Amino acid sequence: VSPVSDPPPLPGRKVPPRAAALAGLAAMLALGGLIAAFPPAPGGFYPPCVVNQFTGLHCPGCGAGRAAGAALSGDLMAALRSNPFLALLVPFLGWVGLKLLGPPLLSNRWATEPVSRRTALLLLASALVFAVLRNLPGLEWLAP
Amino acid sequence: MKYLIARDGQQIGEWTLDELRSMRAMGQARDTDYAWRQGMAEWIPLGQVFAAEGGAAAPPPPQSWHPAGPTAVGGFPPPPPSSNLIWAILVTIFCCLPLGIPAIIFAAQVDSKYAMGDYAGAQASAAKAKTWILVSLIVGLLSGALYGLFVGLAAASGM
Repeated sequence: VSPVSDPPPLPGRKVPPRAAALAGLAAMLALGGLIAAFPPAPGGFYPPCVVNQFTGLHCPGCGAGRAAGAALSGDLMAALRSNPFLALLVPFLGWVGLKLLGPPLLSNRWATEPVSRRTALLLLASALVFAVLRNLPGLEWLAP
Repeated sequence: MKYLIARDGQQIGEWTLDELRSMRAMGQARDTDYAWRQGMAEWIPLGQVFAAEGGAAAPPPPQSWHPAGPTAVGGFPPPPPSSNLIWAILVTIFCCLPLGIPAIIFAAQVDSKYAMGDYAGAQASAAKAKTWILVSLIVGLLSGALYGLFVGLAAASGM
């Protein structure tokens, strides 16, 4: 009688090494700590957006730093004013972070794509729509 | 002897070979699904199980039109490469870099090329997407850090 064994890990997409996931997590925590300690403000040492510097337009990420600084100091309304798109996306981004970090931290050998192609393209499309809207006259409240 | 069947990285059930044959006839089981049973070291494509067990011969697998491209054992398609599309999009939004745009374009090609059977093309696009994502990330972080250092030093020296 041969012993009953568990199936081997499923074949699938390669999972990044655990060290990369740990480094990414550490970098995110360090950046969060820096932003919490020194919230971005005009004239601060955080780099301005390249697209905004060259074109004067607001990109979908403009105001992300100020929004993070406001949120980390507890001012959620100010976070919404700086970048409503990313502020409202925080739960989704947290879920994406778990899907990205989970498999490498658990040392899984395989994983499905963390975010389906459809979801990723939907995120891209909403970012583009938001980028257009926040540059339209009359919708300045969407700008940072 | 029942086979465990997996598709898209998930186990979907357990069936005997006869059940799997009729499921394949109805299109419910695919040659590209992975199969495993007690005693096997690795999961193998279901098509290879059919071929090995004889009986109904497996239909020819989809052929890549890049003959030099990577094909898995037995001519069955290799697992899909990671498109990293979500990384490309996040890097573009958060680093706000024009460098993220080629990353998105290459990442978006991966799944469509794979679906057309162009496995080599899918892997090439995945590799290019990865390169552009890393370039965007590194350029973004490095220029940001240099800017912060420069402004911080300028402020410290009383400019």
